[in-house]
Formats: sequence, structure tokens, C-alpha cells
Amino acid sequence: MNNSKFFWIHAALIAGSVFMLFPFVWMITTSFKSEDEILKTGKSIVILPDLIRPGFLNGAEDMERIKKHEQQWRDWNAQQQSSPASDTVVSTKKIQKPFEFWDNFNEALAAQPFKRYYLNTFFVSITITVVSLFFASIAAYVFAFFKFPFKDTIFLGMLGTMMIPQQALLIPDYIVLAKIGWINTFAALIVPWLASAYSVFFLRQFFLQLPKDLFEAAVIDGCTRFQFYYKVVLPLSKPPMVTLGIFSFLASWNSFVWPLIVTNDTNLRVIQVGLSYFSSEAGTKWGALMAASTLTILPLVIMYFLAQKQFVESQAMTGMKE
Amino acid sequence: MRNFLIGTMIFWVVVSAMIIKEDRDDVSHATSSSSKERVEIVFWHGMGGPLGIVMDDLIKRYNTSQSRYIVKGVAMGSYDTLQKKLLASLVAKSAPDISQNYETLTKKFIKHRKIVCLDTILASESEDIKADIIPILLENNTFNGKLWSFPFNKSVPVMYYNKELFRKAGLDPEAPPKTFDELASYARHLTKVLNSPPGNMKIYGYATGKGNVWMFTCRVLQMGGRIPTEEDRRSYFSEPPAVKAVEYIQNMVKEGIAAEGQGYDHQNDFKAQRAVIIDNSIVSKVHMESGIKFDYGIAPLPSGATAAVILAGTNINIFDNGDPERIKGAWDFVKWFTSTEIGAEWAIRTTYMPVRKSSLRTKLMQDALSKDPNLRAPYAELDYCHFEPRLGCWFEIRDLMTDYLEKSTLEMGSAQEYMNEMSRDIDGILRHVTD
Amino acid sequence: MASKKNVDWGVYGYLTPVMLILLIFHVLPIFYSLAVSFYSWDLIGNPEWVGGENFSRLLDDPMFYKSIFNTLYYVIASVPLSIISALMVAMLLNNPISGIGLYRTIYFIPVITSINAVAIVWNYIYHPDYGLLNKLLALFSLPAQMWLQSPQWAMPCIILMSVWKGLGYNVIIFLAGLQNIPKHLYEAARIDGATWWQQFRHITWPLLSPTTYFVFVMSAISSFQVFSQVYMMTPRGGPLKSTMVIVFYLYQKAFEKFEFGYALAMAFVLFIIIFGITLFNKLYVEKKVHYS
Repeated sequence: MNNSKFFWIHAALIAGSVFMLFPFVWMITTSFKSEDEILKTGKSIVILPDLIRPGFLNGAEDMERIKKHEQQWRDWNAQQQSSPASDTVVSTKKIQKPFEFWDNFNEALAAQPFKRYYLNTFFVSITITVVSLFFASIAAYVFAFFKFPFKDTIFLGMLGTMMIPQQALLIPDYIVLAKIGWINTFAALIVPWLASAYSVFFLRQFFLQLPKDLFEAAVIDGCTRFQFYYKVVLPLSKPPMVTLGIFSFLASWNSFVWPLIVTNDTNLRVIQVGLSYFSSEAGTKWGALMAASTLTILPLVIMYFLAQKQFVESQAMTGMKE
Repeated sequence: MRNFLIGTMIFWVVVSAMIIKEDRDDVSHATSSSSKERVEIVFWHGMGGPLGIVMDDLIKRYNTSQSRYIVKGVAMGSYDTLQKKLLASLVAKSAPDISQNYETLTKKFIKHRKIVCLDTILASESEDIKADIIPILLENNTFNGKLWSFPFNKSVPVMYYNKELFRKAGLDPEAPPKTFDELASYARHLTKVLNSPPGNMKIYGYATGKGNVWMFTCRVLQMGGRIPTEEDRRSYFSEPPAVKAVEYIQNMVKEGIAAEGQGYDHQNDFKAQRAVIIDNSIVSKVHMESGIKFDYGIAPLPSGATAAVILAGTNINIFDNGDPERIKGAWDFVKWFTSTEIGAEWAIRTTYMPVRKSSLRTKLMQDALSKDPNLRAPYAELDYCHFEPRLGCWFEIRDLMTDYLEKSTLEMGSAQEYMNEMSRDIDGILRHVTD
Repeated sequence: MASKKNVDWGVYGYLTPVMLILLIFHVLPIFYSLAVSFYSWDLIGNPEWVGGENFSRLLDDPMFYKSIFNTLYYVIASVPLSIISALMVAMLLNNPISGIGLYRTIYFIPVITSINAVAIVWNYIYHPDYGLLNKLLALFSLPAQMWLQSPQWAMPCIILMSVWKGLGYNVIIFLAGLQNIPKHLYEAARIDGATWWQQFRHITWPLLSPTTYFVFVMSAISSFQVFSQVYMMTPRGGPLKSTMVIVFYLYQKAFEKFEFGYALAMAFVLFIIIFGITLFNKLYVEKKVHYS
């Protein structure tokens, strides 16, 4: 492959990468900006927040202004402390406290219990992923390897369930759960999602591509149905299982309409619901919103970077299939 | 692969353990901090941010002030979410004991017998509470002669203006515009003067919310027009005052002296000193305060042919959950919250209207009003408050109105035509009203 | 092989968990919805029988047709765009260059982020006054646009954001498909003197068709159900209702106006349409797909 081809490929991929990443860069840098900086209109695009921009990047005036403001605030604060305790109830003209680096994050964290939201989300997502993959793989297994009455009808019907807009299910599902008394419980968050027609479909497509003679050979060897699944099919299915596992975990982590509706209490909220509540509260406080969004996105990105290796390894392990 | 799976399992176990531990802690905390027989009252509200802080503070104070009941406040993020969850919870039979509500929802609840009629509760009170409630608020909560909800957090719209920019443009900062004509000429003057020489960003004399029905209905009344009422179910929006209200904004936007912001944008514009005068709820003061670094004033809304404002905000419903103890507790809390002294404090800290007339006369209130002139505007407006019709279909109508209002400044077509169409649609809805 | 009788029951056992849950939470609710669609119900009171009135109102409802139009606009614009862009990136990545892992990671990041958070960020980017996009335009002296507040641009804005978000997902799938194409086919073609385009048309495209089919079906179905972006970015259905898509209209009718009977009638009609399209797909289009 010649150098010029390399160059253009990389150029194109880099351009694409910038497009993919710029919203996140913008999100993170905004979460460290004060409201002043955010609400500035006008032409200049200032990526870095005032507080970390080095002076030579046209930051000199801003640093001036910030220092002056800090002094003003210190003076006003001192005055407030020294004068007799006036009604703390009445709010008179304030000097706004100068913006500190972590202010937006502190605001977001103070407004909602993100730690609990993380715990809830992990619990729900892991449970759903593991269990639904198990259920889906055994179903896909029989669809791919066996013949039985009504097989095609059932499969078609199952595919059909994928066509149902989720919003249509919201109401009746909610009512069903209400009658069983599962509203505001973890069961409501988890059980309806333990069956994934999508996963069954995906796995069945994959299983269909496995050589049929494997199965015949195993039968001759006296392998039972489940043994073949467990000892042969599963190990061969690492790539699609990993892929599906990742997608399933993501879908569960990122879902918010369903959890929003079936849970009320704070200690049952998942991270998206928490963010959604915060975004109604914060209105257009962009700084805090960006901080909250960062908090919501960051764990997944970190997990993905860590899991990357696993993902790549499993691909490499199975190699190319003929 | 194997290691990863094992790692995940261990992680899952740890997470589950932490959740279980936290829940156990909550339960033991709740049962130990309170005495054994505390009745729990669940209160769903939509107060978040700075308002939520005041709400949480007051709830805590109530809980420590007596040992019979313990109120658990659940912040629902927004009225919207609150409403949705409320309806869903009624189906699931897991409704709270108290909730903030708009009148439309209250009517639904009355119809389906979900809430408690407060007349019966008030009858057993020694004090004549009703006599002390601000009249317009009392009227707002009285349906067919009975008190079905209790006033809680009502607000009025006011006008905010940037005193520093007023000075800069040569206007008297203590003389905000009082009529529509004055507002328009101020906006014109401010836009012209403050933009020459043109700075980094254009400064608008006036900004308002896009498609804001609340301000529109206020303007209609102020122009001398009428809005549908519960008795008179007709739309008067095709009449000249409503049309003038639409044209007023259209013309200012066309002329470039006013801007319309989506959602809370005009609030941000005000904070960024991009808009000199805006209209908004008085409660916005609490939200905007920490971001305002200039000298600003709050004044009553301008008047046209007459002065008028419309109340916003919610009232309280106490749900009939079948447990008389909880209903008593709910009322006890509401009574405490809206009592003379506490109500005054709530009003000062959040700028919501106090419920009791006696709150207006407390020292706390008098001191606050004298210290901060910006708090006075709502009380000046108290004389000419109205409220929107409490019809079951009103929210549907409001939605329709928002669409038309947005259209009017998006397309800049004939205001009369928009109003005619809107009126026709509204009449169509009103004709089917059964409540 | 074991006798037919034994195989039957055991096999069904494997299907039971999935089928049971799908039945209770996905299938029965459809019938329940159909039943309720003949009533008028606001969730608090008792349902009132109205017969077919919900359906006839639906057929007369201009907003319903507008929402179908908007949805089709969205699907027709975003699906091809997604497929083409993902395929191009996958083909670029399917070369022996360095840093493939890094690129793959980068392209996949938008996929793993929640639509909630991402919509908030894009909302901010699209903001007419403080947003990044208009500032970028200003750099090139182009006029600022109202984006999400403009009837012409609101839907394209949402389409762009959706394509951006889903790109990495489809890239991974296409990449897997591309890597399954035996390299010797390309070598043979190169020896025969085939150009890049000829290789693509005669090797890549046909052998990729199971994958392309899969991506197409998944994208089409999910884009028909677009909801979250609209909910987060244009919560009232957009300027002049230009982003009012079917599922959002349904949601609004149910959870904002509390007309559950009507909403369920709409849901049922939607279900029939989408199911019909999928059926058509399966019976006629799938025949054209190659399985090696």
C-alpha cells in the first residue's frame, strides 16, 4: 500500500474523529466555565475556560477582570461578616461569588445523589445483560439447530415484537406492573427487559453460520442438547455474545423513559432519570448541565476504554472464520 | 474472558451489597430518629434548585417542631413530571398524601373523588382561617362554593429592568415604563442608544418568552380585553384587544427592538445584559439572583387600558387515601406551612405570595419590603389579580395558544387572521366542555 | 436423532423464558391496547366505551398525518445517510493501517453515551445565541441560523445528531462483515486487473449483503420509532410541529394530554404499519440476500 493512500485514509479518519469528538470536548470544557463565559455571544470561539487558559492566549484581560472581581467579593464578604447579623431571610444585592473550578460539578452533585444513581444503574444493567443474554442464547440455539412444529411462526412472531414501538407498551406495561404491585421496585426496572428479541435474532443469524457438521458429529458422540450448547456453541460465540453484551449493557444504562415512569423514589432512580430530573431543575444553566452530562457519560467511557482490550482480544482469539 | 466474567460477578455482588446496606441504613435512620409512632406524610412537590432548598429547610423545621408526624418531601423536578407521576400513581394506588397541583388537575380529582374537601377539615379548626386568606387566593381554590384545595405557591408576573443600562442610556432608573406605549418607546430608545456604537453583541430593549401564553393573557386583559371564564365559555381572542396584544409583540420584534427567547433564554439574556427589560414570574428573581451582577429593579407589569395580572403557580391537594391520621397530618403540615409567620418567611425567601393576610402585616414582611424595594412589585399588583379559567380542557387550550403565538412571530402574518383561527379552534374545544 | 416426541418438548423449554416474558410484556399489552383503544380513558376515572370513534378521529386528524410525514422524512433521510457513512468509515478502517483500535474507540464513543446527555450537549451546540455551531458559521462569515427553532432546520438538526450518534454502532457491524469476506477473493480480482470500484461492486457489496440487510432493517425499524431526541431537543414537537414524529405524538397524547384510548388507537395503527413493512421485507427482500 503506498504512502499517499495511507495519508488520505488517515486524513479522512481524523476528520471523522474530530466530528465524533467535538461535542464531548465542548461539553467538558463548558463544564468548567462560569456563566459569564458561557453566555457570551459574539464571534470568538473560546474553547478553554478562563480559569485554565494561559495568559498568552488572549487571557490577560480576563485574568484582570477575574482578579478584580475576586477582590470585590472579598471586600463585600468581609463587610457582610463584620456588620450585625441582619435578617438572613432577606436577600439584598449580592456580589456574586467568583467562579471556582469545580463549581458546576459541585452544583450538580449537590442537587442529586449521583452515587446512588450509579449503584442502581450498575445493578440493573448488569443483571439485565447477563440474564437476557443467557435467555436469548438458548432460544437462538434451538432456532438455529432444531426443527420443531411452529418454529417459523414463533420466530416470525418474535421478530414482530421488535416492531412494536416502545411507547405503545409503556401504558399497558405500566398498568400490568401496577396490578402486580411492582411499581417503584427493581423488578419493574429489570424483568420486562430480560427477553430481547433483537439478541435472539442476532445470535440466530450467527449460529446459522456455524458448520452443521459440528452438530452431527456431536450427536454421534452422544452429546446432549444442553451439552452441545454449553460446550461447543457458547465458546464459539464469544464475538457476538461480547458484542451483544456490550450493546445490551449500553441500552440498559442509557434507557430513561421506562425507568422514569416506573420509579418514583430517589433511591430507585437510575442515572438517566437523575439527569432528566436535574435538567428540568437546572433549566438553562448550561455550566451545571454540562457538568451533569459529563458525570453521566464518563463512567461508561472509562468502562469502555477498559473493556476495549477484552473486546479486541476476543476478536483476535477467534480469528477469521471461513 | 473468564476473568472478566468473574470480575463482573464480583462487582455485581459488591454493588448489590452497597444498595442493600444503604436501604437498611435509611430504614433504621428513619425509625430511630423519629419516635415510634410518627405518621409519615408523603408530599410531592415541584420545587427544585434554590426553591427546593427553602422547601427542604421548612420541611425539616416542621418535622423537628412536633413529634406526631414526619413529612417526607419528594422533589419531582418539574410540575410536568409531577403531574404525570401523580396520575400514574393514582392508577397504581400509590398516590402521595399531599401534592402541588394546578386547578385543572384539581377539578379532575374532585370529579373522581380522589381528594379531601377542605371545608370539613377547616370546620374543626378554632381559628377562622378562611377569613384570613387573601381573597383572590381563596376564590381560586373554591369550586362550586366548596374549598377543595389550599393556596400554596402562587406567583405573579413582573417586569425586570437593568438599572445600570437605564443610566447608561440616559433614562431614570427609578422610573420604569408604566404603560405599553412607554415600554415600546423605552425599548426603542434603549436599543438605539446602547447599540451605537455596535458592540460585541446586539442589546435589545425588551425581551419576552416565545409563545408565552401567560404573558399573552395578561396583555389581553391589560389591553382591556377578555379571556374565557368558567361561566362565560367563549373565546374573545378575535376581538381587537387580543389582536392588539399579538401585534404589539410582532411589531416590536419586526422593528428589532425586542427579542423573543425560547424557554428561559430571555432570562439568560437579561443576566448577560443583552436584554434591558424582560417580563417574567417574580419567582425568577430567586433563580436569576445569583447570576445578576448589576443593579436591577423590579416593577409591576405595564398597563394598557387597564392594569391586570394573572396568577401562576399551584395549590395543594390533600388526597383521600383512606387513612384519617394521614389526612390530619397532611392538613397539620399545610396549616403550619401557610401560617402567618412561616408563610411570611416562605414568601420572602421565595417571592411566592403569602397565603394569609396577616402575613402581610408581620414585622418580618414589613422589614423585608422596606429593605429590598424589589420585593414590593407583586404586592402592588395584588389589587388587580385574576386567574385563568379552571376548566378541564384549559391546558389543551393553552397548548393551542402557544402554537398560534409561536406562529405569529415566526411567520409574521396577519394577527387578526391568527386570532380568528385560534378563536375558532378554542370555541370548538369549549363547546364540548362538560365540567 | 432422538425420537420426534422428545425433541419437541425439550426444545420448547429453551424457548420458554424468552417467550414468556415477551408474551406478558410485549404481546399481551398489544391486545390490551387494542381493547382499550375502543374506550376513552384518562387513567383516573373509568374507561368509557366509544367504539371506533378513536379510530375515525385518527383518520381525520391532520396532526397524525403530519407526524407520519415527519417520521418518513426522518427515516428516508437518516437511514441511507447512516448506512453510507458507516460503510465508508468501515471500509477506511478495513485497511492495514496503524491505530485502528484507537479510531474504532473514537467512533464508538457517541454510541455509548446516553441520548439524554448527548441531547443536552447538542441543544447547547445548536443554540442560536450561545451555541458553537453559529459561532463556527460566524468564523466563515456565514449568517447564523435558528436551528432547532427554525421550521426548516429543526428536523435536519435532529437527523444530523442521530446519524452522528449511531455511526460507530453501524461501523462496527460493517467492519465485522467486511472482515468476513475472504481476502483471497480480492487478491484474485486484483490479479485480474479489477479496479477498486469493480471490486466493490462484485465482491464487497454482494458478500456484504447479509450485513447490509441487517443494518438496514435495524436502522429502519429503530428510526421509525425515533423519540428520545425529539423529546429532549424539541419538547413541543418543534417549530410549526416540524419534528412531531409518530411516536412523540403518541407519547404526547398519552402522557401529556392523558387521552389514553386515543393514544392506544394510534399505537395500534402504528404497530400494524410497521409490522406490515417488516413482513414485506422478510418475504420479498430477504430473498435477495446472500448467505455464503
